[in-house]
Amino acid sequence: MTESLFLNLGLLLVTGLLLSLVAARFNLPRIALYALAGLVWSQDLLGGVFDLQLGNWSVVLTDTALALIAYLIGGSVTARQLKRLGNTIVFCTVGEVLGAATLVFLGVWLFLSGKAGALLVAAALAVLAASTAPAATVAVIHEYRSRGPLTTSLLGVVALDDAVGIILFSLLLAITTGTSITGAMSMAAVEIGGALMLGMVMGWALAFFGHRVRNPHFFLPMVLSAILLSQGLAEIWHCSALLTAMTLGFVARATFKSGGERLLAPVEYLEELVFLVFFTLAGAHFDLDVLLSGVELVFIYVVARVLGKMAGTNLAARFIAAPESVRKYIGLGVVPQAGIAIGLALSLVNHPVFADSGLLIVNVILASTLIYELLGPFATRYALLKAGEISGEQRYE
Amino acid sequence: MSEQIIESSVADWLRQHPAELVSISAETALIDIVKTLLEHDSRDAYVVENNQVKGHLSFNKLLNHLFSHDRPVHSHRQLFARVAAATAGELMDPHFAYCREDEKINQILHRQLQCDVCDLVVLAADNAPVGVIKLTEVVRESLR
Repeated sequence: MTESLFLNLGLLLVTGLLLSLVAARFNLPRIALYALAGLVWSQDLLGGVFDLQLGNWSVVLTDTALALIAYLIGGSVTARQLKRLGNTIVFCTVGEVLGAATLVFLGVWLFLSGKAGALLVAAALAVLAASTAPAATVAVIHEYRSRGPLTTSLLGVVALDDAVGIILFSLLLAITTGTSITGAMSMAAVEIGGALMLGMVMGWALAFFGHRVRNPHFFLPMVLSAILLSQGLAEIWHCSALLTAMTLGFVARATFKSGGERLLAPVEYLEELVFLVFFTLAGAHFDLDVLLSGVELVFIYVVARVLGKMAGTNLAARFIAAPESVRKYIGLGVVPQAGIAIGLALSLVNHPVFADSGLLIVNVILASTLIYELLGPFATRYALLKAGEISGEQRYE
Repeated sequence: MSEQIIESSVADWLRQHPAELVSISAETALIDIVKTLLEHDSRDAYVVENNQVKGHLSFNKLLNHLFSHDRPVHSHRQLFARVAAATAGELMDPHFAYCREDEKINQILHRQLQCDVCDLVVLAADNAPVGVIKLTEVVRESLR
C-alpha cells in the first residue's frame, strides 16, 4: 500500500493539469476534466491497480484549501458594498438558498426515510445545495456580452450565495457535533461565537501589521501565516474553522479600509490550484458501487435543487417587486454548481459524524456537479436570452 | 544616466521640470478620473483632501474596474466590485509611494520602478503635495 503524500498529490495534480490542456484544446469544461483526472487514480481504476491510498493528508489539504477559499469569500466584500448591493440581490440570494435547501432536504429525507442517517444526509445535501458556480455564470455573461437588470442581479447573487453556503455549512457542522439537542445548541453557540471572536481578533491583527508593510512581496506569506495560525487556534479551541477564516477575511478588509485588496489579491492567484485540488481529490474519491447505490439520490438532488432555486428566487423577487425579467428567469441562471460544494463535501469524508455517509455525499455532489457543469451554462444562456439581455450578434468570437 | 541628473535633488528637478499632480476627491466618479488622466497625459491620480494626499490610483487599476465586463474570469472580490460600483475613496491605495524635496533623483528611481508609479508625488515637510516627478521626463532627459 502506497500512502505517500507527494506521490499521490503529484500524480493527481499532473494528471489534472495535463487533462486541462485537453479541455482548453477542445473547449471542454475544465473542472470536469480535473474530476476525470482524479477518477483515473480512484480505487476502481489506476489507484486500485497501483494500490495508491488517499491517507489523512487529503483531510489536511482539503481543510487548508477550504480555509483559503473562506478567507477570500469573507474578504471579497465590504460593509459599504453590501449596503449598495440592493434589495433584489440580497432577497433573491436568500430566496434561492432557502428554496434549494428546503426542497433538497425534503426530497432526500422523504426518499431515505426509515434508513439510518437519513436526516444527516438530507441536511448535508440541503446546505451543499446553497452555493453556485460564479465562474460558469460569468463566462456565459462575458461570452454573450449580456447587460441589464438580470445580468447585474445574477452576478450579485452568485457572488453572495457562496458566503451564505459556507455559513450554513458551518452551522450544520456545529449543530451535528453535539450529542443532545441542548448540548448541540450550546456547542454550536460556542463554536460559532468563538469563531467570530477569533476571526475578528486575527483579522484586526492582520490589517494592523498589513498597514506597516510596504514591500508587496510580504503580503502573501503574511496572509497565509494568519490563515494557518487562525486555523490552528480554531482547532484547539473547538471553533468553526471555516467561519474563523471567513470572519478573518471580512474584518481584515474592513479594518484595512481602502486598498484592502492587497490582502486578497496575492491569495487569489492560488484559487485555481485550490480548485484543481478539490476536483482531483473528489474524482479520486469516486466509488462506482457507492454512486450506483445512490443514483436516485443524484437525480432527486439535481431536480430538487433546480426547482428550489427557481421557486425561491421567484417568491423573493415577487416579495420585493423586482423587474419581471429578474422574477421570471434568475432561478435558471443560478443552476451551475462547482468548487465550493465539492470542497465542502470533501471535508465531510473524514468527519466522524459523517463516517458512514461522507463518501456517498461526495459522490452525489461530484456526479451532480458534472451534470450541472453540462446543463448550467445552457440554463444561464436561456435565462439571459429570454430576459432580452443578449442577442445572437452580441457573442464574442 | 548622467551624473548631473543622478546627483540633482528633487527640489532642483521640480524647478527645472515643473509638473502638477492630478488631484481628485474621494467621491470622484471613476470615469471622470480616467478622463482627467487622459487630458493630463498621466497614469497616476492622487486623492487629495485639505491639501493632504490620502491615496493613489493608477490608470491600470481604474481600467480594470471600468472594463470589468470585458474580463471573462472574476474573483468574488471583482464580482462584488463590479456589481456595487466603487468610488475613488474605496479603490485608492492609502500606502502610496512618495518622495521628499531634499532626496536625490537616484534615490527615488528604484521606488518609482518598484511601485510601478510614473508620476511620483513630492511631499513638502508639512506633507502637502508640491508636484510630481515624471518618470518619462527623467528618462527623456537622461537619453539626451
